[in-house]
Amino acid sequence: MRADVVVPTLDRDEVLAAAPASEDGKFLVPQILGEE
Amino acid sequence: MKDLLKLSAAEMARKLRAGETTSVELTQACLDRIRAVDARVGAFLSVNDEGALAAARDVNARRAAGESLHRFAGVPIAVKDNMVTRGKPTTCASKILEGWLPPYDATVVERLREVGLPIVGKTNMDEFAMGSSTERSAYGATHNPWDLDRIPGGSSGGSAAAVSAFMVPWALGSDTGGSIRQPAAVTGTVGAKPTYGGVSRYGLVAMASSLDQIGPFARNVADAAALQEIVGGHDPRDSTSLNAPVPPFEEIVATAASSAKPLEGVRVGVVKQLGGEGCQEGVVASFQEALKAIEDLGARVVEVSCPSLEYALGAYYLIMPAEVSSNLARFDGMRYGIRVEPEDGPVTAETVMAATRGAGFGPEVKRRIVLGTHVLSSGYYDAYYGSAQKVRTLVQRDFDAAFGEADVLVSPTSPVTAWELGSKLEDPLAMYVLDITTIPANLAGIPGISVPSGLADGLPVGLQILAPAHADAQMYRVAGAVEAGLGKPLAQSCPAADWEEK
Repeated sequence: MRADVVVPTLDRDEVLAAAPASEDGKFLVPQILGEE
Repeated sequence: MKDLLKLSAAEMARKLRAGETTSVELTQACLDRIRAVDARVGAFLSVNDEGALAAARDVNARRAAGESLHRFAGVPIAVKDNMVTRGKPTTCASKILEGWLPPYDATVVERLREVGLPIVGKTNMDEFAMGSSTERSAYGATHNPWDLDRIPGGSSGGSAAAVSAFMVPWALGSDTGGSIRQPAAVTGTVGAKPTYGGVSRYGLVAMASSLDQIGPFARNVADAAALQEIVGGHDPRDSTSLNAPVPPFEEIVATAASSAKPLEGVRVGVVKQLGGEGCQEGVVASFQEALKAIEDLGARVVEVSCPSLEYALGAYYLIMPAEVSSNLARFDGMRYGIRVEPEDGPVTAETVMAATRGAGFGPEVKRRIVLGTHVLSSGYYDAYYGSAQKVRTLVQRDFDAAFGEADVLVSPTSPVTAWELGSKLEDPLAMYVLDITTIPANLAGIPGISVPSGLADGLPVGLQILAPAHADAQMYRVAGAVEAGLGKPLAQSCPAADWEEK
């Protein structure tokens, strides 16, 4: 098995800046289910 | 146009090392050239003056400080817009990624930065690499520098045109069914698709993952070979990346080009199924001349047969859309790219995805997603996708057999020269069938290169050279020999060299 080492990850703010909408450090998405 | 821009990447690199020019001067010359002529070509989707000049200044400073640099440090380059560049636009020529700034660099982009190649901009393409003419870009078509009323090929038409019109000495493209080799052929440039896995796909926005491969464009074989050396090699972030050392392709080309009979003892196979039928007259004539040159270089030309290639086109246009429908499912308007809400009715994840994809994708992308979704549906899976995979195996076996009789295989890269813009947009099939010469290599995973073989009615024709998987070195050796045997590289005589700059 490979060594368990920390490698660079994506920057959260950079990722969220490119999202259509975000809130509190998370993706903001429409509701999954409709009203019916 | 500055004479500097007509130089090959290797000549530019030599001047940089000798202190006869600087990376800033070269990069500025490329940027000025783009500014002066790209309005008529449309090769670039975005130009990054600031980033390119910063990279160039960095190389200048490190060179001045006596640091030991990569041989090609400071030579500018362009990158197709489906390879992600951190903080810089990456659209895949689609509206759905308009305004997206990727949070990371593709592995190939990282390698360019490590070597110190300033990236001047991102090049135009068919949307998500789907097309053979670069007319399917959501941001307007690219024009062929040899004749601005004609297509530059596709889908990497922007990279091909940028190299052909002396905006950059070399560029990266991607090839799923011929998207590097065919644009190279119709723009008089050299373009290579490495063995599948030879260059990392990490950060290449996927079209059809089992077929996609990144490769170089240049105005001569040696530069293409050098660029593949730079971006090639193992990457743990791409599980299909080959873990093998990268051979010294550039040196192999130089050796082949300088020998008197470089192809002595080499068996060159002409693939019966890819030769004459459906080929334009001038293309056949150019191919025959290339074969004569190959014989003069000492090679023995033999005919080989790959009967399954008859079904290759059909199989490709099932496997590719199947993978497209799966890969492009990620564009859902949730995490990146545009988000479009429906005009009426409930606003739910489902309706937002539908509205986003409806507005964001162009017609060709939708056509392939629908086709791919259909062939993967449970009732049809075996009949379409299953059968296509069997054909893929047959194509691979045909090539295995052919490579038993020949060391490399040759064919015209494209059955036709550059056609007029707009002339094939109405009938998608008319464009699909022209991919017949290039797609077998993607299905089999083998390397292929297009080298200019001459002109037909004033338009460039390409010779395709195919080699067995992992034998990219053999492909470059033959390509280097053929290029030298045919005289000076055709790309040097592109009419764009004499354009008036406005």
